[in-house]
Amino acid sequence: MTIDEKHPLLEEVQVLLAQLAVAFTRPEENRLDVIIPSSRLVEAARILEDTGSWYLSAISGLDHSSSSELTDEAKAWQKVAEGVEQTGFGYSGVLEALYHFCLGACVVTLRVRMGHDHPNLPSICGVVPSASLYERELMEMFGIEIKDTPVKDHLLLPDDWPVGVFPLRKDFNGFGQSENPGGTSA
Amino acid sequence: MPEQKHAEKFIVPIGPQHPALKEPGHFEFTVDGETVTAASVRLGFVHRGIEKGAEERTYIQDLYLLERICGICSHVHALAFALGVEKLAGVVVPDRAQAIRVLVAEMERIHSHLLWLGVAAHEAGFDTLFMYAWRDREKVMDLLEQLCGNRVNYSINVLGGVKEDVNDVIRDGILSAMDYLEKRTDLYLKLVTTERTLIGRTRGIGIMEKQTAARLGTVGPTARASGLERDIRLEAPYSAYHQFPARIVVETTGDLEARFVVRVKELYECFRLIRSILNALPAGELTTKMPRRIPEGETISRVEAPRGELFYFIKSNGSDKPDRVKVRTPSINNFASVMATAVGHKLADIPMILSGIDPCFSCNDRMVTIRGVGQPAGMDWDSLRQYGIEYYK
Repeated sequence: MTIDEKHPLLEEVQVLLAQLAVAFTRPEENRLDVIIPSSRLVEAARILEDTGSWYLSAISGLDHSSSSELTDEAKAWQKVAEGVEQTGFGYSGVLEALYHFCLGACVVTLRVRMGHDHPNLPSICGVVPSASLYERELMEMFGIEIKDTPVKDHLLLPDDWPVGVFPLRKDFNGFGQSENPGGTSA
Repeated sequence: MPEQKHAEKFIVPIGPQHPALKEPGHFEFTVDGETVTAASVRLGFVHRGIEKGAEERTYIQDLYLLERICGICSHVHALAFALGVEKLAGVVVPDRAQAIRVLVAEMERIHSHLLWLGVAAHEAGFDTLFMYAWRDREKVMDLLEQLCGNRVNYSINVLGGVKEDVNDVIRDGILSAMDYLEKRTDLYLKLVTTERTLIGRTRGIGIMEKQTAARLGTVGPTARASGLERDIRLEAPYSAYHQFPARIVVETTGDLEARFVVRVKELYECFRLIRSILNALPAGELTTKMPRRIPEGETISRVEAPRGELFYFIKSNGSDKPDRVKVRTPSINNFASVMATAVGHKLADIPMILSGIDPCFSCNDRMVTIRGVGQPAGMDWDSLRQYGIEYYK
């Protein structure tokens, strides 16, 4: 199954994004993960878009917390996300947005991490117009605020979905189980 | 003469209700007279929370859950998930199983493309072609039922292999059906390239340039009709596409006709692949042992669904349940292209442009025409379709 070939494309991207990234990892042979502060996200997306060959394939949201452990590390990550400081790459209590860019067999993922308190991201719609749908999904499913995105309406959830309930966060366990069903961790 | 006042803006909302065909979706087209000036989309009317549901079920349960994301291309969902989980588990699936997976995937592509051909012909008012295409599609559906036990949601995949084997009876049945369908496809190719009433609705309409298609992240036949060589089967061969390589079908005109031609020509490619698989089906086991708990990790699994690149992101946490399953279906990418190409076209072209991407959205039957604010007048999808047909009479 494994394809034993070099992926020079990924190395090129690594050079292009060297100035912006906090760290690079190669989780699989055909993949390059780029950990990046949110302040540099738009610039990184523009660099990939300007190559004319990489295309945005998807944006995934991740919630790294299990419902019991929350927010201590999150604050540290908020700082990393804002480009203030770097820390180790601990996971718990962190929301993450993954911007998957594809070219052929290769996938470059821009990973932006942020804490649960006021998670926010800049919109990349100015650079990649088709990101709009995914950004709407991130906003409603994970409660990540994207201030400058062109359309903020619900994409998938009903119009009368309660405010502040984000179903793909780990602390959402459905309705009707407690008095504060799935609400944000108070 | 009094000065012409600012043109009134019409917003034509389409959908979401009416589950007659496929899924509901809601679109709003802003029109200036006959011309569309803006378009927006609202999805989620059949949102079932499957991604969240997948986190609470075991990998084995998820396989069945995810297969039910789509009733048309169900196999590719199960395939993408199975391939991803097998990669995380470090399991190597037997060659025979991989070949059977590709066999079913290509049969599914035939049924999906024929289904689309019928729907698109119907939107153009060409109901004879609709009936022909759907009648021939039954051949494939019957074969899939014979092989897998089900007409839809075939459920042939298990984690680590497949459930059903191909015996001689099924093999001969498939081969003779391919011969029949190949002849029929000759007819379809002739129809979509020479039938004047159809060409009147497709040639030069909904043109998407290669650069636009690339910029919008378009995938699948929609991209290939614009000259964009995107096909995961070739770019990142998975399952048995190493042994049975696919050939790409590309058209350069980027209009609706090209989208017809690409899909019809891809049928030939399906026949060729199916024949070469059946003639050289590797011997061996159908399954391999799969651990119940999947080691911690993240993987991306991409497969070429009938509509284009299907993208799975799977994160495991060492337990028997995934931590996160992100599914990005090809239609999401292609919706963006509808929103872009619809602008500047006539309202009468909208049914065709929408169906041109082979969207997983329904034949929407409730449409309201709003003039300014609050003067709704009833108009449904059928009327819009009829309007398009009358317009081109």
